[in-house]
Amino acid sequence: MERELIGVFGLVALFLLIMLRIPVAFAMLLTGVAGTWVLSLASPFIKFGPYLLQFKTALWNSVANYDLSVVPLFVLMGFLAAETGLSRDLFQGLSALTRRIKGGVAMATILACAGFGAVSGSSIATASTMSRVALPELRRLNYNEGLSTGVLAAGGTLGILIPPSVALVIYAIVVEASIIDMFQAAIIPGLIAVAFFLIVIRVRIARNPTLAPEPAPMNDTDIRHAIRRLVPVAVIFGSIILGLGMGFFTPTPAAAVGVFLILVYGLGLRAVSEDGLTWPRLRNALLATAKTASMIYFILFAADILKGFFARTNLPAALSDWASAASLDPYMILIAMLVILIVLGCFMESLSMILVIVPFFWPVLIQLNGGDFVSPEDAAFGMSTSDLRIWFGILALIVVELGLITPPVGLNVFVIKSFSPMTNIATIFRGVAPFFAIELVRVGVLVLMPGLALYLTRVL
Amino acid sequence: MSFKATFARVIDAWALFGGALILIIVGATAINAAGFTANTLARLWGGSVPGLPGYEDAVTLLVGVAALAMFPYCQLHGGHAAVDVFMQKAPAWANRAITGVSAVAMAALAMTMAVMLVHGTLQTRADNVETAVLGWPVWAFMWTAVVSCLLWAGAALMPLVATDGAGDGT
Repeated sequence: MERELIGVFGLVALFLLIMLRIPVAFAMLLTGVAGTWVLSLASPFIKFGPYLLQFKTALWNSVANYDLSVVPLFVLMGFLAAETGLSRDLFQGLSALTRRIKGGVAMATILACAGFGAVSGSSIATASTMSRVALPELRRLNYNEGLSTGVLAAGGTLGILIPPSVALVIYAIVVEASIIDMFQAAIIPGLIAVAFFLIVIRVRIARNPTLAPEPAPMNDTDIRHAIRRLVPVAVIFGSIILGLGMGFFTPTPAAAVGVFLILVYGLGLRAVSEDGLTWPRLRNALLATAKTASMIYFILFAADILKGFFARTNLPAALSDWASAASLDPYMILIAMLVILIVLGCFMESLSMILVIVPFFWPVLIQLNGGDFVSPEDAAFGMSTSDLRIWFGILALIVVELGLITPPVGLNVFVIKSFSPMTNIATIFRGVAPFFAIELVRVGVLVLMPGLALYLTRVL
Repeated sequence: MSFKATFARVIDAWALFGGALILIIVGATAINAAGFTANTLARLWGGSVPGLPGYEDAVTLLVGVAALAMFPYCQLHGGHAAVDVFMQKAPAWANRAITGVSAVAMAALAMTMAVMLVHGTLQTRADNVETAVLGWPVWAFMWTAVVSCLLWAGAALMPLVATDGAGDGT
């Protein structure tokens, strides 16, 4: 049997296993090992016995990796921020400042999601944490249920793109890009998302003023109190971004400094008040980190095994040869890839999707662009391979997150539903629909204007 | 206390041990980052501030131990990403069958990893593999990975224990 055909069967088997609710990482590992065994039967050059010997140290080597130490640190930073009450302070500070605008608290929710997303780097964590904090307040102020839940579901998707983000780190590692470049490239698209979401809220309320209550007046004491709440978040987030931007830190120290500052703040706050960090809260954060970080590590380990199998089948290379020989329009292929990612995003967890799909798409994109060493002038997408890597990463991360607010799975929607059991799921999907539409506009803007993603990587 | 509850507490404690190692990494990294920042500033005046010697060696080994210590907890609490949407529509017996097969297969995988890691640890010890700067023996950290994989295998089988009540001990 042809090696490429074994690769295709492997891909089909992988998706079948995933559909059977087998954990994604396990399905990847099983496909990688079983597929290599089948390959060893078909090809005399692939020996299964020696292949298995790598497992004596493969798992250890996969996790005992300095570059990947950034994963548990960023994850812990997000959970600690939630347990310490930083997310609550962020939302309350912003909502106090925006209360004078009609729809201001809904806008504050988006801004708080962006701020918390920056600290946590996870969409699901952002959606669940901000729901716990913001939903009761939006209800108390009589915001429309569809608008409130839609804002939270959409705001949660900001977590993956506002740097620093674990997904950006993982993508950079997969395609061997600079993590700092990916962080810089995500800033403008992230800010565009925030601006677009704010516009959607404004337009919806302008068209239907009953969606939000009338704005409330504020006195100087309220404003001072609100600003005081925002200072710790600004200091912690500012330290990370400035440290990264000015070259004081690489991502691992940045994450560690973030965790350290939150710990100091939480313990200090506890010393002077009833709030702050207690042992049960620290324990919760550590156990939540254990759950999320090991899920990510297991997927990374399995993805490495799967990648080895597909490389031996020659399938990614065959796909890229086909793409270059078929003289297809590069932009049509790119759009087809983004559509595939949106559709798969409705069913699959975003990180595993990036790890399974991107290794197939990446060689095809390089071929379509004109090869590894093409100059920007001769390239089909008008950019070098390194810029293509960054631009495609930003587009891919945006579209995989769309799956979080798309039926039938829409994980963020179900997270919001768990905090609001009385709300009909269709109401939440209707509430999030305008944000989904504006996200498609954002993808279109970034496809047509790659410079928006690449600008900061060139000037910083 | 039931066997299941005791086992869950062992796994919680092992995960918290991993968490404690992450906090040690945070402390070491924060000190190192402060040193690096101070060095960047000191260079402006011709001075220098050293970082922690062998910092990357220590982080590499500690994060390896910590990450694997968290695997059993993730398994026990259903933390591994899975796609539920198709099986929701399947009959109950099919769901039970898939859960059982998945649990046994995952336990088999974790046990295989444990056995392979025993060989790997012995080989690493025999080869006298040490970290580049600190000279720490790698095998002395690798054995914890064996413990993690054994606990991971046990955690994978817990859904079966919960279903039929065997081993509950109450």
